Amino acid sequence: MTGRASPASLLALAVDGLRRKIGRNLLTIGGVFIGVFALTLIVSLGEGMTRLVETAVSGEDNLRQIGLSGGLGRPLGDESEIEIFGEMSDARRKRLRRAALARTRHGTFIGRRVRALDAASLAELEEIEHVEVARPIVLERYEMTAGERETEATATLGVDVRRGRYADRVIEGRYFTTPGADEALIHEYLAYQWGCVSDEELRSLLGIELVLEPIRNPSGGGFASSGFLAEMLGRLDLSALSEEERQAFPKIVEKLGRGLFGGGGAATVPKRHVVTVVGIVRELEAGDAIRVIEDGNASRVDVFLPLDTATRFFFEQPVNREIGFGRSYVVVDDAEHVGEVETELRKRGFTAFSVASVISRIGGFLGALTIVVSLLTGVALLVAALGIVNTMVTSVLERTHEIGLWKAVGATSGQVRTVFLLEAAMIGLLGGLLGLGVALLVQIPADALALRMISERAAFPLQGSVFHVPAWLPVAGPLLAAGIAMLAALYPAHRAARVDPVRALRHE
Amino acid sequence: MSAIRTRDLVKEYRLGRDNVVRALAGVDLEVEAGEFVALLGKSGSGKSTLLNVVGGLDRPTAGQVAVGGTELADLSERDLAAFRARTVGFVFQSFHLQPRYPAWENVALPLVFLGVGRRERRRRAAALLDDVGLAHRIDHRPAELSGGEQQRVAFARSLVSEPRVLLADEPTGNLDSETSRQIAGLLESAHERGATLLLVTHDREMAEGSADRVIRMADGRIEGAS
Repeated sequence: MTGRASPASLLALAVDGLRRKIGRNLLTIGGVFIGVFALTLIVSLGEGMTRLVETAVSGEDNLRQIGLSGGLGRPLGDESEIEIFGEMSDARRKRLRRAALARTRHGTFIGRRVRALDAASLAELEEIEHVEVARPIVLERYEMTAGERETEATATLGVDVRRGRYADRVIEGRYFTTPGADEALIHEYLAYQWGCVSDEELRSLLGIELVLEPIRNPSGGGFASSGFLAEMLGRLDLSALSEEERQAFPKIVEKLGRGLFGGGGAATVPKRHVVTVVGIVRELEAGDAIRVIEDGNASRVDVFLPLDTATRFFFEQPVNREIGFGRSYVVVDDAEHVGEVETELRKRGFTAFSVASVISRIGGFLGALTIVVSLLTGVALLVAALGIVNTMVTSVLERTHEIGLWKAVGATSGQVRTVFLLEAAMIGLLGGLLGLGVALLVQIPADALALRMISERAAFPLQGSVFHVPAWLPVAGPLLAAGIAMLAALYPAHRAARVDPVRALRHE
Repeated sequence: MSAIRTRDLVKEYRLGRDNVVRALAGVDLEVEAGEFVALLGKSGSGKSTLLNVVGGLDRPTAGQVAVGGTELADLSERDLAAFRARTVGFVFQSFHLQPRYPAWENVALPLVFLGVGRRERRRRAAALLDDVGLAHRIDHRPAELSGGEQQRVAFARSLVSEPRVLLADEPTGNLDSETSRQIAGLLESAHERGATLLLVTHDREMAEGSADRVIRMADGRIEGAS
């Protein structure tokens, strides 16, 4: 006996309802539009930024590398080793010692550097389980002469020849023959500075000899008059050092000064190094594999030396033999073991950081940010939902007579309810699709703009998009809006379903 | 078997806490299948209430009502809706047409809730509009039709689901005498085709001229028949 209206028929009634008060319904749709527009942008931005960072730094090698910073060699963690000077009560001295310990444990850049990085500690690193190799990062500056060309403070970097690093960036000449060869690759920008522009001019640089000399103090005095080092040391914040470290610091600097600038003593006689240019290296391009830890300081390097050669040059400076490498890195056998090795390194007194942990922190931050902003977007959708309730209640009141007629000619309460829920769902769906569509359109110029702004400030060329629309979003966004709209319409639809046909028809 | 049968039918309306209005005060009525019965009475006599209860628009406070052998008290809300859609057809004094819909969609409205497809709805509505002489008005909206034409559209709507019982509540109340005669003719025509008719009217002449039987009502009761 019971008839069953086709969904299309009820949908047609719902569409007709929507078209009645087109202005009011457009405003309601606008509310949903704003919510879904914001949701789409926020989620896309969160996803895009995460992917951008991951794409840029999460190459196979990056996730297996852990960087280490060289320290002053004094282990931390024992409160009794920290001396507090001056007359004071024992209680206060104890408090200050605890405070000093806390400050050296957390957050201070220099204070966390503990173990020195030298040949012995690198050998120790290679003994740690899951560590494949431990390599120093040899980034040095030399005064360089190439025939008649002279360059002050040329940055050189040791290249791990065994792993073929930078081989793919050689655009003229060839790669190094051995890890200890007296050979060099020069950056195409240095060649450009030397006036070599054409391929032929670049090729003319192959085979020339570079003479590298440790940077001398022009005045022959202490380090303070050396522009480069004085500037670098002047930037250091010594407030983070313990008293003991602060006292030790001038001695180290003195050694640095003697080693680098010939401040007296037979051991400080600088040695000239001669290497032959065998190739030209191009600048990084988007899509190049970037090892964040290895290459972190390579963006201003002009001359690339084989790592063993660079290390040999490095240790020919007495001061370097005393304080060791500034930085090094280890490569772990599998990315899964990075956390374990990182913990072990810290336990042994090294300052360690991995790309994986940085990505994890960035991902966590972006994830939390996305959730918070999504909640704010949720508020926008909630406001839209209240708008839908208002619109639908008004619609039911205005159409009471019509609903009465529907029921008089055979509509069930369920059918009446369905018509109004469909009407709300369409408001949600239309607003959702509109919000999604406009957000996708807005992303095109916004993406180009944001990528340009980020690229101008980033050390590495980036490729990809700042916005990324996850596959689920184009479906879930409008469906979520439709779902919220239907939830909002439950009460008005229930009211419509309960309309008494006799009363409704009597009060036309 | 009676097409319509009521036993001791009572319908009360509560207006405020202590004010109860008894619209039907124990109505016993039997209408045979194919019979044309007119209900005459003053305003407030309970005619329309009786029609609404018989048509399943309203539920009685007490008593029984059966239409086509179906006891309406036993029907769920959903089945009662289906009963209204299939078994009875209503013609109202105020037409109750949808101003936004063309004539054919007004006629076909009951079929929407029966799941009939749009093309079939239009075909059936067109045939009925042709029967009531409005084939040329099929796509006209109510505002473009005269009062008589609107009531003919409403009459066609009452027949679209081919009901066995036709319930007409003052169908000529808003019409002039000439148009009223046309509507009376349509009712007679439906009766001749076998429909059972229950007509509520003030118009004694129409009632006595068209109906097989005239029942007079007053104060919620049947006072007599002729």
